[in-house]
Amino acid sequence: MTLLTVSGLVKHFAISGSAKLVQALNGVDLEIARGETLALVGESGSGKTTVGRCVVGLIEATKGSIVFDGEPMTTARNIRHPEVRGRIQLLFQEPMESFNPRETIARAMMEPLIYLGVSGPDRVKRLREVLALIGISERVAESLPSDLSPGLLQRAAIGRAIMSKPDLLVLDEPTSALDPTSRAEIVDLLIRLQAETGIAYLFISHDLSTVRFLSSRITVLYLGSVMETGPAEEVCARPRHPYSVGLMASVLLPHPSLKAPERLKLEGEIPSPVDLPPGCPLASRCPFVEPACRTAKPPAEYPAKGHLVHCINHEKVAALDESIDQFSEFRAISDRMLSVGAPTAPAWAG
Amino acid sequence: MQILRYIARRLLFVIPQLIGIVAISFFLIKLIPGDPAVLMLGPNATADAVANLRSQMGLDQPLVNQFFIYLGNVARGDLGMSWQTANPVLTDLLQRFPATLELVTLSLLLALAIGIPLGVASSMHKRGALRRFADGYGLLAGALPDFWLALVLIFVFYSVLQIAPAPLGRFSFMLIPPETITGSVLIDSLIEGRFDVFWSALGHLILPVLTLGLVNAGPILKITQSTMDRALSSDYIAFARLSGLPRRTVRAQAFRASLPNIITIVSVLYSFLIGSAVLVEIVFGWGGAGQYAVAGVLNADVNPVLGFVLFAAMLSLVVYLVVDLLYFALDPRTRV
Amino acid sequence: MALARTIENEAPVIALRNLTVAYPRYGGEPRTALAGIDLAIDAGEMVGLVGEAGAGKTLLARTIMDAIPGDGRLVCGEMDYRGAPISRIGRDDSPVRPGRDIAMIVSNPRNELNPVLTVGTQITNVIRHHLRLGKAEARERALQMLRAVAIPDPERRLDAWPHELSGGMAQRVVIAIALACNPGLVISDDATSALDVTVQRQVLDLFKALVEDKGVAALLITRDIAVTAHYCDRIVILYDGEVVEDAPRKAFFDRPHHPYSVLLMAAFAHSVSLRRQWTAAPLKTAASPACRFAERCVRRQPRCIAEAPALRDVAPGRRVRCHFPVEAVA
Repeated sequence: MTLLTVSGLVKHFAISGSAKLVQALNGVDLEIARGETLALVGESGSGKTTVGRCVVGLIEATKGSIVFDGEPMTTARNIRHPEVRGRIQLLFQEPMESFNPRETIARAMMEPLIYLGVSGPDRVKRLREVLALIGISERVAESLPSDLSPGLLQRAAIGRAIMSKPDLLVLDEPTSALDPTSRAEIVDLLIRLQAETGIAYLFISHDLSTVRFLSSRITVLYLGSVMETGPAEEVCARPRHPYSVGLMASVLLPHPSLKAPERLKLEGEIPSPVDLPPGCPLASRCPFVEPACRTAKPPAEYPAKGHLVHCINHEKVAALDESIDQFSEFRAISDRMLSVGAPTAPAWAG
Repeated sequence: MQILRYIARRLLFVIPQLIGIVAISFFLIKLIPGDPAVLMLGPNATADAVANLRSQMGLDQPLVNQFFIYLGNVARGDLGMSWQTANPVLTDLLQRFPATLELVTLSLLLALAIGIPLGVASSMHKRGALRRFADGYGLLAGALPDFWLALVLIFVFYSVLQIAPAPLGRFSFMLIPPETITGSVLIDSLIEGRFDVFWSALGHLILPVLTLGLVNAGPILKITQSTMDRALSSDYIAFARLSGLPRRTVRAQAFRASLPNIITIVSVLYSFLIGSAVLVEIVFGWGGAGQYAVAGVLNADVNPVLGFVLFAAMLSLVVYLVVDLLYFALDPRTRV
Repeated sequence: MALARTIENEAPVIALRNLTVAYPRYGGEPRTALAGIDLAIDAGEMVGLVGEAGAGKTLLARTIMDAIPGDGRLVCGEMDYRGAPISRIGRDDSPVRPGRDIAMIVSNPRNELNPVLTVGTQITNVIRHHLRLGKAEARERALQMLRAVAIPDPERRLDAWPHELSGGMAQRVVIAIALACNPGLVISDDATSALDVTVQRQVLDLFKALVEDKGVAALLITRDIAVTAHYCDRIVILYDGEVVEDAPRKAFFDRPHHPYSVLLMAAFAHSVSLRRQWTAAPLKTAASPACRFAERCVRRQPRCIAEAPALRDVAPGRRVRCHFPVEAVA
C-alpha cells in the first residue's frame, strides 16, 4: 500500500543579488509503500536533502505534488495539520546539533508529544516504551546531550523521532557523522524498529554499502533529476544508468578483492546546479552521450517491472559487463570471516 | 568597471539617506522645548517683538513647511545662521569640523599604533606576560572615561610637570592663525611655512590625542586579539603551520584574515568619535564641531545642530563606502 | 616490508618507538592518549592507520609533526627520520622540517586553503620557503605540481581563489602543496572523508599513484577500513591509544586476528546476526580492565582483566596485542 507519492517535484532557489536560480530539483518522482525503505542516493548537490526537506515540509516545493496516505499535502493540509502531525518525522545527520544542549535527553524526547496533546503521564509511559525499544536506560536518558557519545545520541534522536509513532521517517545521512561501529549499531536498530513497528523509511545517503543492506528500493538522483529507480539488488548489481554504474564503481568495500572495476568512466565532477542545460543532466560527463541526449530529457523506460531508468542507451549500459555484485561477494567473505572465532557462549562478564 | 558601477549605485542612495537623516533630526530637535526667539531677544522682550522675530525666522509656519523650507535651503548650500556666533552655520562648520577631524584622525592613528601590535603579539603568545598585560589594558581602557583621563593628563603634564601647553585651543593664542586651506592647522601651517604655529599646534595636540588614543586603543586591541585568535585556530592556519611556513608568514596570514574586522571597528570608532569626542574637546577648549553642536542644543540654536548632523552623516556615509570598498579589495569571496 | 629492509639494510623513512603522549587531568592521573606506539614506514610504503574517534590517530600525526594539540605532552619515546633521531621538528633549527621532509594533509580541503590567497600563492609560499627558489622558478614548480595532481587548465588555476574550486579540486591543491617539496613522509589525516564517494576514489587513486611514483612513505589515517583495503600495503589498527594489530594488507583481510579488527569488519557486514555475535555485553567488574579493549571484547577472559597484553609478533611482519587472538580459519 502506497504511503507517500512524490510526483514532478521541482524546487528552485533564488540566488540573492542575481537573477539566476539554483535548480535543486527538476521533476522528481518517487513512491514509498508502508513499511518499506526507499533509499535516495547521489552526490552532494544532487538534491537528495532537498527532497527530504520538501517531504517533511521544512521547505515548500516550487512545483509538484506530495501525496501522503492518500491525501495530497497542500498549504492547508501541511505537516502541522492534525491529520498529518507527528506522522512524518525527520532525523538529522549531526545528532549533537539536533539536541538542545541544556535539555535532558528524556525531556527532548517527550517534547514532540506535548504538541500532539498527549497528557503528562502518557508521555512518560511512551518514553519508557521507546527507551526499551532503542535500548537506552532511563538513567542515561536523564543525562545531557554533551554526556553521550555521538552514536548513543543518534540512537536517542531516533527514539525522539519515533515517539509520535510516525508512519514515515526521513533519515538524512543519519550515519555519516558516526564511526563504523556506531554506524552499524544505528543500522541494526533501524532494521529492528522497522520489523517491530512497520515504519517506512526514506533513507537519504551516499553510503551505498549501508543503502544496499538497509533498503528494498533505491532511487539514484543526479542534479535534481531521477536517473534510475529500482529494487536495491538490481540497481546495485545490474545498474542500468551510466551514472549508477559510475556511482557503484566508486564504492569501497573492506576487502582487497572487492575493488569494482572501472567499467565506465565519468569525466570530471558534478557541476553546480545553476543554469542547467536542457536534456539529460549527465550529458556533459557521459561516455554514451549522443546528440539526442542534449536536446530533451530522456523519457522513462522500464527494463523490468518496478525498474525505471532515464537513459536512451540503457540497453548498452546493461550489456557493458557481466554483473559484478560486489555486495553479495562481500557478504560471502564477511560471513565466512565472522563465523569463525566468536564464542558461542556470551562473553565472560566478570 | 564593476567597482565603478557599485560606487555609482551606492552614491545614488546617499541623497535619500541624507534626507532621511535630516528629517529625523529636524523633527526630533523641534521636540526639544525652548523658543529660540525668546532666547535670542532675552527675558525683557515684548510679546510683539517675539512674534515678529518668529515670523521672520519662519517659526510661525507649520512644522512640515519649516522642514521643506530648510531642505530647500540646504540644497542651495545654505545651512542657515547661528544666532550665537552670528555667522552662517556653513562657515562655522568649515572652520570647526576640520579641527575635530584632525583630532579624531590622529587619535585613531595612535590607537591603531598601540592596539594592533599589542593585539597581534598577545594573540601569538597566549600564555605570556604580554597577554596578561594586553587583557588588563583592554579592561582598563574600557572602564576609563576619556574626559577623566584628559583631566589627569592635564594635571600631571601641565599643572605639575609644566611640560604641556595650556589646554586652551589648538595652538597658542599668542600666534596669528594661518590661512585656512585644508582646515588642518598642521598641514596649513606647513604649507604656509609657519613653523611657529606648526610646533605650537603639535604641542597642543599631544595631550588630547594621547587621551583619545589611549582610550580607543582598547576596543581596537580587543578586536585584533579576538579575530587573530580565531584566525590562528582556523584550519588553514593549522595547515600553513603544518606546511612548515615560518612564524612571521603565519602571523601575516592570520593578520590579513583579521583585517576586515579591524577595519570595521575603526570605521565605527571614527564615525562615533566625531560626535563623542566632545567631552575631550570641551576639556581642552578645542573649539571643535562637537562642542559647537552641543552649544547649539543647549541654547535652542537649531541650525548648528542640524548642520552638524548633516556633516557627520555625510562623513559616516563616506567612511562606510570606503570600508565596503576595502572589503572588496581584501576578500575575493565578496567579488562575485 | 620488514624482510626487505633487513636485506637492503636500509633505514625506514620514519620509525616511532614507544611514543607516549599524556594529557593532564584535574585531580587525577594524566590520561595516556598514546601508549607506547611502535611503528615504522618504509619508502614507497603506504600504511593505513585505522581507528575510531578518540583512538588517537590524529594525535599520532600531530605528535610526529611536533604540533600536539592542547596541553598534551610527549612523555617518552623516540622518532627516527631516515635513521637519524629527530625531536621537535617544529623548531627552526631542526634539520627535519614539517612541510618539507614530513608533509601533512588534513580533512576538509575547503577550510585548509586560505580564502584570501590565490592557489598559486599558497603553493609557491611553501615551495619558496623550503626550497629557496625564486619567484619564477617557484611558479614553474607549482605549475608542475598542479599538472601532477591532474588539475585541468593548471595555468588558470594558479590564479584562482580557493572558493572557486570544488571540494575535490581543493583537495588536489592541498596534495600538491604537501608533495611540492618532495617529502620523505606524507601523512593524510582523514583527507578524503569529506569528499563524495566518486571524488574520493579519484583523489585516492591519484594519491596512491603519486606516492608510488615518488617513493614517498605514506601514512593514511582513516576511520574507514574499506579505504585501507584498496590503497594500503599495511594496516595498523589503533584502539584507545594503542596499536592492537599491525599486518600486511592481504594477511590482515584474510584473517584479522584482534577481536577489535574483527569488530571493525563486522561493522560493514550485511548480517545483523553475525554482527551481534561480535558485540559484547557490558562488563560487570568495577575495576578497569588491564586490556583496554576488554570492555567491548567478546573473547575476554579473566586474564584480560588482570594482565595487559603486549604487542607480540605472531607471524613475520605481523603483530597483535591480544591474549586470545582469533586464529586462522579452520
